Amino acid sequence: MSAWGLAIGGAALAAGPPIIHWLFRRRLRRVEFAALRFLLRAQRRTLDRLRREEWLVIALRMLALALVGLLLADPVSDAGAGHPGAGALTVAVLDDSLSMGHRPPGGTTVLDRAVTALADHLNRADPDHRVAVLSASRCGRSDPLPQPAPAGELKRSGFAERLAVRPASDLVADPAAALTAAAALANAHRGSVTVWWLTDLRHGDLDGTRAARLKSAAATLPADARLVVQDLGQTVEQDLAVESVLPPSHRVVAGSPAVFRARIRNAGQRSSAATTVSIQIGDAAVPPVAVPALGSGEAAEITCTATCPEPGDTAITVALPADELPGDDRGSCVVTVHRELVALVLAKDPRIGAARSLAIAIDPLGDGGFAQRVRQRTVAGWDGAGLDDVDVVLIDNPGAIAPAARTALTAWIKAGGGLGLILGPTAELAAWSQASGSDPPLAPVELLAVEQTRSPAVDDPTGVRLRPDSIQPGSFLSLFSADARFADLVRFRQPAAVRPMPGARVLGRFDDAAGSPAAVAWNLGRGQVVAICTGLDLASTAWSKDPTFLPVINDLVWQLCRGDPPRVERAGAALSEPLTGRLADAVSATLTTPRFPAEDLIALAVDGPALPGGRVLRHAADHAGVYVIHGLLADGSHLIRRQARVVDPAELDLARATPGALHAALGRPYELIDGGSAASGGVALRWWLLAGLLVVLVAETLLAQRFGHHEANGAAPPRLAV
Amino acid sequence: MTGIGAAAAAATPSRYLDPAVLAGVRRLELRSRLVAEGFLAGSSRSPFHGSGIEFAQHRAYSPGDEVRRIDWKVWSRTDRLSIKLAEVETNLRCVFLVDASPSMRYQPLGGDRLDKFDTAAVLACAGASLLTRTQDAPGLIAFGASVANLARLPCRAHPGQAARMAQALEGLAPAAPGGTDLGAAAAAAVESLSGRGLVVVLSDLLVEPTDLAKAAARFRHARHDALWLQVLDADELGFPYQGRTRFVDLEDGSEVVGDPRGLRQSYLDALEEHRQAIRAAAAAHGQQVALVDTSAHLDATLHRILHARRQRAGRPG
Repeated sequence: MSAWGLAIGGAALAAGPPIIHWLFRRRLRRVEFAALRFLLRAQRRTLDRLRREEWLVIALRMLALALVGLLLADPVSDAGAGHPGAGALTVAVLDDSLSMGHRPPGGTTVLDRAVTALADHLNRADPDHRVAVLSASRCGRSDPLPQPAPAGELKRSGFAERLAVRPASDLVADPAAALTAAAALANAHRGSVTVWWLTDLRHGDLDGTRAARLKSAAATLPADARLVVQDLGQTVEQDLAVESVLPPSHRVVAGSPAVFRARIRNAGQRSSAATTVSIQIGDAAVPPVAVPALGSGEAAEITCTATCPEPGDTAITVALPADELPGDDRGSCVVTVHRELVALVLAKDPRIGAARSLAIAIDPLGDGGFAQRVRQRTVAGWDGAGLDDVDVVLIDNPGAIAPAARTALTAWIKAGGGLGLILGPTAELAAWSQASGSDPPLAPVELLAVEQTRSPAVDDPTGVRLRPDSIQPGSFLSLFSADARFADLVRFRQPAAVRPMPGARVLGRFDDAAGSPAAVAWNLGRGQVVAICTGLDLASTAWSKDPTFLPVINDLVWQLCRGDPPRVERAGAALSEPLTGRLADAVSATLTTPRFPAEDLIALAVDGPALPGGRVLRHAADHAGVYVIHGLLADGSHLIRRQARVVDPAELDLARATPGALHAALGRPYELIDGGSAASGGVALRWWLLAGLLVVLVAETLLAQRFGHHEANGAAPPRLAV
Repeated sequence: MTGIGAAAAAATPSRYLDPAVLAGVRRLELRSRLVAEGFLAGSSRSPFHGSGIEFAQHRAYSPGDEVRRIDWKVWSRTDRLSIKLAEVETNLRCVFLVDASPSMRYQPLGGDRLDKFDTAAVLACAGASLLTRTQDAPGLIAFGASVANLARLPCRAHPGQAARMAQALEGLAPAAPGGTDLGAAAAAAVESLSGRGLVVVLSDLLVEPTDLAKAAARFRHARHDALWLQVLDADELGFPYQGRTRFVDLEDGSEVVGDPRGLRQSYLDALEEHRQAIRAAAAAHGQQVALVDTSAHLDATLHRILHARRQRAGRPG
């Protein structure tokens, strides 16, 4: 029997007391009585009061039965969407965002309760009642809008069953887009419309610009449409979330240790106990890392040093133990692991002087054995070619540069390259410290015109040293600040007199009276330029023979060689992989999603390898986690690319929205139904009904006893004393 | 063994005076004898003894007078034979006015006790039995809407008078509806008592207090003593009905429909007001109204009533 059938039955039941009352009036027991005169007198005295009491008790009994009827009617969906009659339209905006996956201990998820209410509504609805279900997390896309369908048809097609197995997405809810879509459907319908928003009402849903968008969207609903907000949410008590997984700040090279970081936040209302996270890098698991106890809202950063053995795309996944909200227990990112680090040394003669010292420091044996390889070129005639697979460019005594080379170098730096300028005695920075066309200045310093009074002797005891206290922490000169004796041993004669460019950072200074800059850096785009204000040949310093030279130069290379940009986007963003390199030869591609094997492999269309800018594309990657693209090349070999999707941080704001915030955000009449304080949406209402029933029954009993309608069993009635 | 056999075999009649047992005894004579025996088992003196013999004067003995009537105390003082003369030569005359109106025929719930008329008859016969033991003369007048065609026995000091009264009351057909004419009954009682006497009225007294006052005034004017016994059923005293009920008047057939639980308190209040009114009406003429509950032991009821009567008269028994 449908809910409305039960409700009508309950109403019929409520009509029972007056009917029984009427029937009993007709079927009275007859008693021949002697003292009728006193009864008549008593009746005259009490007639009005008796009538009032009688009808009051009957009314209470009717109310009790009506409450029983309502309880039997299971008012969950009725409370939400009203009477699902024929000709009416219900547009259900189902919040299936990540936070709806909240599962209180021992209960079902919020989304399950919402789907149950929706399925219940469908089951009770008139077959001609039209229903459309919109996803609050997917409505803002170009997907076609679901059209309303008769409830009977939806029931026959098993729509409710399909909804029931649908998990919460990893997406952030966009109620404004959903209400806009609902308004489109409502405006196209002739008849009564109910827009039924089933949500958990998180603070993030109504925050800032979202509230403004929501207000605009709500204003587009028809004025006579009924807007019902069913709040199914509950406070999340225990929830640790992987807020972000950060790749190393420097380039990851196969076989070299790299430091990975992850940020863990306690998004629950209660403090969390200390726990561990498991970390997987590629196919290998590293030892679990401890997470300290965190108070509500607190965050901690954990680090993990690991070595990626193979070059290529590598996924790093951090996983927390399961808690009330499992959707945010994992976080991922993808880094590109490079085979080796390549440094390009440009000098007038790379075979001698500073260039040679640099090459020996970076690749001592010249065989790339430390996953670092050096290429050397003469600067004369260099046109900027060969930068594609170069990570660092070091230029000894920079001078004139061809415009094409400067332009190429500028673009390369902006894309993340690192440039080191060794300002020896013959350096000329005119072309480097000034803008050229649309290219900005490259050098972070300007050379000052000073008299060249260089000392000819290598072992000249005069000169300056680095001042350890001036060295910026974390810079490539940190070795000298770690132990002041190293700074004492290394002397620099006649360092380059420079003036740092505005915005440049001085990484260290000499100990001369003026505190001249020893190294100056600045960022250019994603890249960095460092100027070392001394020559590295023996005429300028004996440092290249010092044991400190090799580690400091290697630190310089690693500082200049910045890491690849984190390849992380939010869940829901389109998955697009450019067909570059060998992937350009791909003849087919398949996609493995984070839900594999629960979700099938997806064949991706290869968008013409021959075309420039070709790519494989998937419009929506809705799940958080790692996506793997398998490219099948023409020669039968496979190529793998990975991408990661993370949860929108806004969805990790699990604080409950206040009714006031909802009122301000909607800006139009609505009905708010609190359905989230118990195991299912209707339980709270049922409890209220049950409590009301008990109150009515108690009142009926008390009043009936007070009015003399009830006698205690076995109690003798009052009588006159003899 | 039940009924008459049980009553006859009883060594102590009081055990059979339980209203339920008494209701099982069909013959009124036996019922009344049981009540009388039960009463006497707890009392050594008749409550009516000597109340009707009053000394008038002495006269000189003359031949032919019975020797037993000589007052030997006077002879011992005066040495002359004298005969003691009483003003009333006969014993106490007592008329039992038994209400036989339809209201007395109320059938109690459960049927485990006598109805009001049977109770009144038992009490009348028991009283008559007690009176005849002391040579007093009980009489009977049954009344309803009138006294015509109902039982009427003149006062006789005959030992079989109580049995005759029982026979008359047993054979009494229910009176015709029409109420209770207390005035006619009082007039008949006064008429039947030539000298001073006692009138015992056994009725539910569901009459107007003014009617009762008129009857009481008539008794006082005729110098009769009167005892009013209001016989009410336990149902009328407790009103234990439940569920909606149609109450039909036994006298005039009028009806009241209602829920007894809601009416009970007001009914009991109205009944109590009525009882107070008739008690006041009787007391205004020096008479007493006593309540007889049909569910109570009748011997105990007799004890209670007569004990109260002796106390009121200032003559401890």
